[in-house]
Amino acid sequence: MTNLLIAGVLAPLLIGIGVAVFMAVSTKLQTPSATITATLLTALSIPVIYWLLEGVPPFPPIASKHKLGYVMAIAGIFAVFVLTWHSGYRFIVTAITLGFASIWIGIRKFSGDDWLWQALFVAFPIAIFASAAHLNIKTSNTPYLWPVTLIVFAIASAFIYLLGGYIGMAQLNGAVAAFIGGYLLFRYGAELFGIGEKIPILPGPVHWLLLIVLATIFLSAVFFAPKLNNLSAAIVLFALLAPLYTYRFMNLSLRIQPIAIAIVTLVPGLIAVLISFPTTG
Amino acid sequence: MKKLLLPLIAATIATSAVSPAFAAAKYTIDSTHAWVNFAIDHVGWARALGSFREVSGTITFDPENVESSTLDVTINASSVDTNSKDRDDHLRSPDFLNAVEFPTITFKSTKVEKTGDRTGLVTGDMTMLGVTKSVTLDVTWNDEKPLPWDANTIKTGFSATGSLSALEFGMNKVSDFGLGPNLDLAIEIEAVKQ
Repeated sequence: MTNLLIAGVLAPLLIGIGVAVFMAVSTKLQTPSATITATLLTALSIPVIYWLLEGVPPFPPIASKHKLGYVMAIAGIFAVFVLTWHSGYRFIVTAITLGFASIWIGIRKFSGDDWLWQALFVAFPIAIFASAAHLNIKTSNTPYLWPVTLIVFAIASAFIYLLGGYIGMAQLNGAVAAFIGGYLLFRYGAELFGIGEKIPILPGPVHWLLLIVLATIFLSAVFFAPKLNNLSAAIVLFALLAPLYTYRFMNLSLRIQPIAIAIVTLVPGLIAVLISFPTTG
Repeated sequence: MKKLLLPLIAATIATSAVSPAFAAAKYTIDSTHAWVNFAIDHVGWARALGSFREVSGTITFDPENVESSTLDVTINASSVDTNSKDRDDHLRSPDFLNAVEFPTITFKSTKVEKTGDRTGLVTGDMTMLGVTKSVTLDVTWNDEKPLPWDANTIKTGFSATGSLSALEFGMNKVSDFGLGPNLDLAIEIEAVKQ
């Protein structure tokens, strides 16, 4: 249990704080790009978080969860190069990335007679994740909007995976949430001391990478969790579209913003979690 | 030369005439009378027990020539039963048995050694979670006789024990949950002669 707390919560939390500290220092030192630094650090952190919980995956990968580790690492490499992309392509790039990832991870699900049904089944979440990635283009330049949205989604979906019998993915989501939480803790702490602006905003490519990581975990759970509540899984996705509404909170004080964003984003998250509780009788 | 050849030919004819009587018989595992049980340490408090409810397969067995025997068993990974539905659901997930991706656990014998009148070691390839490892079972042949109500149906029965490391099959999560990593098997199988 101690190992689980260290690997699943404490280590990712410290890594998240470390990324925030490093970003603050690199900005102060006027290194070429805080965006590159943050994306690179996150791209390196994600495989470490995966390895802490799941171990180093074999090569070639055997099971879907091994493939997940490679998808996360590849997405990290991808994210670093996302910097140079025209942001208008974000929707299609996300859809293609997740399309390939879902085929690779869920290949054994697609090999059955119901492959068409399975494909249609994953098309909806992929469309939502791609929409969120597109939405992020114009809204990434805010300190709390996406980190808070992603952390609420990560925690809510972790509960759904846990209740769906796939504890490994719940732990992984929890660890990603702790990583985001590490950044938010440092940034919000600085905010309370009136020096929040000294901590750079997590850039769009980092949001994209975290979104892809959470998306691939989501797809893995949808494919292989033994008793996942599909309705809950569908509802929790709407937390990712909360920025459509919560973007209007940008006028609020930076101390209030994250709380307001979290409350609104929690609505679909909480409904999804409550629905996923098993009914008796 | 002739003197040498004649006894050899005679011996060969005699052996070939006798061998059909010792030919290995084929058996089909009686799924309703097959128990594949396992025990695994749980944080040192107790040994967690469980079983697989769906077991099938074939055996070729010759009591006179045990080394020629074969064993081919398939277990439905989803049929795991540990007396708790929630735990069984978790065991079916990719954290443990990954039953959706790898629906079956198989054992195919590669070598059989006789160790006593009714005992032997059966070594085989066990495939679980897409990983194949060699596992040796300590097998005892219990008895073979017809059903009390049907003299035409012959049944034979075996007991077997073995051990394997869950980690070797990539089941890394066992450590996180304070399990094992060694899994002890206790198998009881009845099979119907074909």
